[in-house]
Amino acid sequence: MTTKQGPNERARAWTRSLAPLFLCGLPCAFVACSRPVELPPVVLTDAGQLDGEVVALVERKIKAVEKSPGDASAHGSLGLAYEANRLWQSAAQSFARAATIQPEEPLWRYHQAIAADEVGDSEGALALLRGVAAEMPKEAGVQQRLGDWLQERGDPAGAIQAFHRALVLVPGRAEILAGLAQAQLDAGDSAGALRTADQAVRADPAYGPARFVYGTVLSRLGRDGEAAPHLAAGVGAKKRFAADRLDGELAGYAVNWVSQNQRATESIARGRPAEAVELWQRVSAKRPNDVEILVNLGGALLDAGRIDESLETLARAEALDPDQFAIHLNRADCHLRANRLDQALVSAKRAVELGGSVGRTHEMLARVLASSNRPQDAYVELKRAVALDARDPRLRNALAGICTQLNLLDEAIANSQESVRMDPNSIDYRQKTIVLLVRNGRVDEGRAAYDELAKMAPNDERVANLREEFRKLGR
Amino acid sequence: MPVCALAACDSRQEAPATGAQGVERASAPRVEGTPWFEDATAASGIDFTHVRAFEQRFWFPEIMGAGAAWIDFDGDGRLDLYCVQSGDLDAASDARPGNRLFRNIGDGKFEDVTAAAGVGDTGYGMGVTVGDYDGDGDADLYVTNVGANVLYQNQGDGTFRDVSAQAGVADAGWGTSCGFFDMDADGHLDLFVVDYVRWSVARELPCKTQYGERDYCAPNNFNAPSQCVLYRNRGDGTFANVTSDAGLGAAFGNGLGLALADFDRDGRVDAYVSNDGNPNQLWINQGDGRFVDKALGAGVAVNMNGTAEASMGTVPADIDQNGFVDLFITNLRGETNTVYSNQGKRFVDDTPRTGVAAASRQFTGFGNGIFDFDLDGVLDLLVCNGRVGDWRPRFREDDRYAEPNQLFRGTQGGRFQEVPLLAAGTPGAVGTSRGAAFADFDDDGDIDVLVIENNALGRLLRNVAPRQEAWVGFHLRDARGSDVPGASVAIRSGTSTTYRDVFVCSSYCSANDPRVHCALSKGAQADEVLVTWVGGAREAFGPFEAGRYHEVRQGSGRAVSTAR
Repeated sequence: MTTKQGPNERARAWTRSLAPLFLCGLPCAFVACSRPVELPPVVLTDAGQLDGEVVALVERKIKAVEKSPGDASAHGSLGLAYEANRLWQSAAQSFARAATIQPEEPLWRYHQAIAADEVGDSEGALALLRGVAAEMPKEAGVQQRLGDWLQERGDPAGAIQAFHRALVLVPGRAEILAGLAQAQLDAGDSAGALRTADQAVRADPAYGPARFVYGTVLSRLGRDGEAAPHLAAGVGAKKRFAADRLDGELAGYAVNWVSQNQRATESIARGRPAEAVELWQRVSAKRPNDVEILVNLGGALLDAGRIDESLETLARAEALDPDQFAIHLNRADCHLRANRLDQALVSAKRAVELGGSVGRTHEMLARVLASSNRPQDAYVELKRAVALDARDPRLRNALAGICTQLNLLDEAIANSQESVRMDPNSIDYRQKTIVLLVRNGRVDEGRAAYDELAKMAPNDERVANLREEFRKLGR
Repeated sequence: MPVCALAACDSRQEAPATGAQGVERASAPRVEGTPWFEDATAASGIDFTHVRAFEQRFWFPEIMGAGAAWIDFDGDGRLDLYCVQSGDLDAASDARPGNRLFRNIGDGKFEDVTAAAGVGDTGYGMGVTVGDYDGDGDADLYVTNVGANVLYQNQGDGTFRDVSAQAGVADAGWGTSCGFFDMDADGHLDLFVVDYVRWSVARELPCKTQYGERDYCAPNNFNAPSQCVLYRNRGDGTFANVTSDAGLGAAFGNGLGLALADFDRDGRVDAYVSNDGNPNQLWINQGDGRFVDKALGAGVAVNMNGTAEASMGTVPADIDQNGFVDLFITNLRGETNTVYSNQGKRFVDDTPRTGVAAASRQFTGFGNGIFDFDLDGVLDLLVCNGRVGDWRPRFREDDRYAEPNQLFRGTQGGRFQEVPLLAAGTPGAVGTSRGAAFADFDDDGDIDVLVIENNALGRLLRNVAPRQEAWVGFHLRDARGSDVPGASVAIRSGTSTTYRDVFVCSSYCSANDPRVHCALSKGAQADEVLVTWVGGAREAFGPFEAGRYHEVRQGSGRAVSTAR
């Protein structure tokens, strides 16, 4: 029977396999090191009020080091626990100790470099990373990160080489292609950057940095119209790096409140509310009096369709702090989904009373009013919401819908067009704008908007339906 | 295989070092060389201590203030200093320390004339700007607060009058940077005010550090970004709030920085607003009272990775001397400061090429200035840093937000190279710096700086950099004798041309010397100074001798019609 070894187990096994070599007497071992290196664990000097989960994890890892102070994997594992919870200083020191004990494992120094860079030692971090990259030519994440750091530090030629090495290992990866395109652009190779960015977008159209660099290249080439949707799609993008052998273990140690909260929020964004519920329930059990967590949990339960549990959770939050507008906002949503319009109205109004300067409260009230057949009142509230949060294309889209209902077609079109301007990648917003234009007799404008959409998403079903409608119109 | 044994004995230091009490301390990179500035605070008589709160409650505004302004309020030709105070946000608190005005009495000395001048506003102060809004030839003051802003009208006799209400500019939001500019080239200065977060004590949140300790929140925690406010000067001492009509309602942000410059060189002054955690805005002046945000397409909304940075201080300057105004933005720790090079039609994120990325990643930048501090003909960069959160390791245990400030020498290759700002161990060299106001306060031909430290003594840093070349300066005034923010200058000496603009509003929540200043080769003069006034009219002046400031008055030069 074979058992699958984790990276640390593998490293530990390798260290054990090397032990006889030390004992049987390599010359250098005799001369320079009369005994194996043992180092104490890096202990937090100011644990402050760290999350209990983090303290428990770190204590467990420290004990493991105390038991085996000469075990690089134990030090490295402690470093990973610190790194996952963003305790960078301690992480850097732990990895340094692991690397001291086990210098033949460059990944300790790789993670030491990452932590050192976070601490602010940019030069030291780069020097470490260069060394690691030379030792690990086949580790794509290392090569990619080297490319990224060199590009940022103004060495596009070095960055291009590093990205090419990474691409040989993992051809076609969007995150590496995006980095390469940026470096090519910095080096003045616009044509090369365009080809590479195009490949990156094709490899993963959802990867924001690829879209952004593609938009940037197009813009530099004067193709502003084509650039706009890519730039918009790339705003807020987050870089990702090819994983290394330690990343799985690292991810498992992200137990602090911030990490869990972030993971839950990401689950909501990915449309997985059940996952978010589980995470927030776990956090809430440890922090039962944290209103923010209860509000988030209530929202996740609602998204998961568990309305009664959501209401019960929000009631607990209200008992702790009755003046948080978000409690009433989520409660209004619960009642609205259960079609209890009177209760929804009471809660939505209370949310506006408490959080009147937040656009979402007016949006919620507008939704309740619209569902209660009061489109004029809903229109007023949505106008307020838009005035308070002009960045949100959803609000513009909702306002366009209410305007249509009230037969304010010009205003509906203007708002719908604004939602497209804010989010040019939304097929829904474009479709709605086209329909409104045609319905209002502005067929040529509708056709032009359709042509643009057809180029953007030729195979989309909504586009096919519009094509059919235009065919019926005989144009 | 043997490398393992060799490395096992390596005595490599595990950075950073552990302090005496076992507390981990951050350390700034060591910068070798002769310091370019000395601390002249004590000798100057400027004893302004910023107060963020009498009891730290971790209310968000506490960590953000404040700024300062250089203003020749009494018209004696010397630049005086106005320092903005924060104080205490607790409505029940009686202690209201108030802003202070220091009169420059020459020889590097100042005296406090706040009470006599009547400018000691006790609002929770953030920023300030200077401009002659009523066109009477003397400089007025506008102060932003967390709460109602204040316009002080200079009475011309050494005193000011609070005319905020009748002028209609008492915006009650959380104002930060602000600036006077002539948006419609009608000769009356209009006013652009950046607002940060729709914050109130009731909306405060219990944010914590990664160590679980109470700390200041980030602006996005509040989900309450603001709009900028634009006031059009009616020319009768009052302003109209034209925010909506101008189109500024089209974008929200957590605004902190402001640059008012003619970015597209069409003769109209535009506005760049840097936001903390959301995309920055580039409001291009359409010439008909409207502004359109073109930041994303122009390449200045987000950095090269598409990330909206947490931007604080903002400096417009023609760094590469191509005739177009570039931008330098200071950002949060973990991000880099950013250089956007203006190529005429669009900007390029030039941060990697300039070398500021690695040097800035460790710090949170606020006030900053780009001037030729050592008079070598290349623009240098001074960045004031200070954290907004309690991150580890700390630089100082008695000020958990403190960071060192940084000075960079500009090189011919377009890179900035760090040089020493102050002598090691100078008190206040590591602090929680915020606003930085730049001026040649002692008229010796080099640029000095006043740095406001959050919750600490402000520092007057006098320029003592070894001078490489000679210098010349110009004070641009309109026909009435008022400063002309937004005007641009091309200074020709021999075969070289230096480009400068009049930027009063710059840095972070601060106002600079309204004069322009540049190096000249030793023995040379400024052969010709070509001024492009706001509105696009051009005049040529000169020649001018080196080693002093010259007044350049609109209408007294030679008309020029050719584009530069």
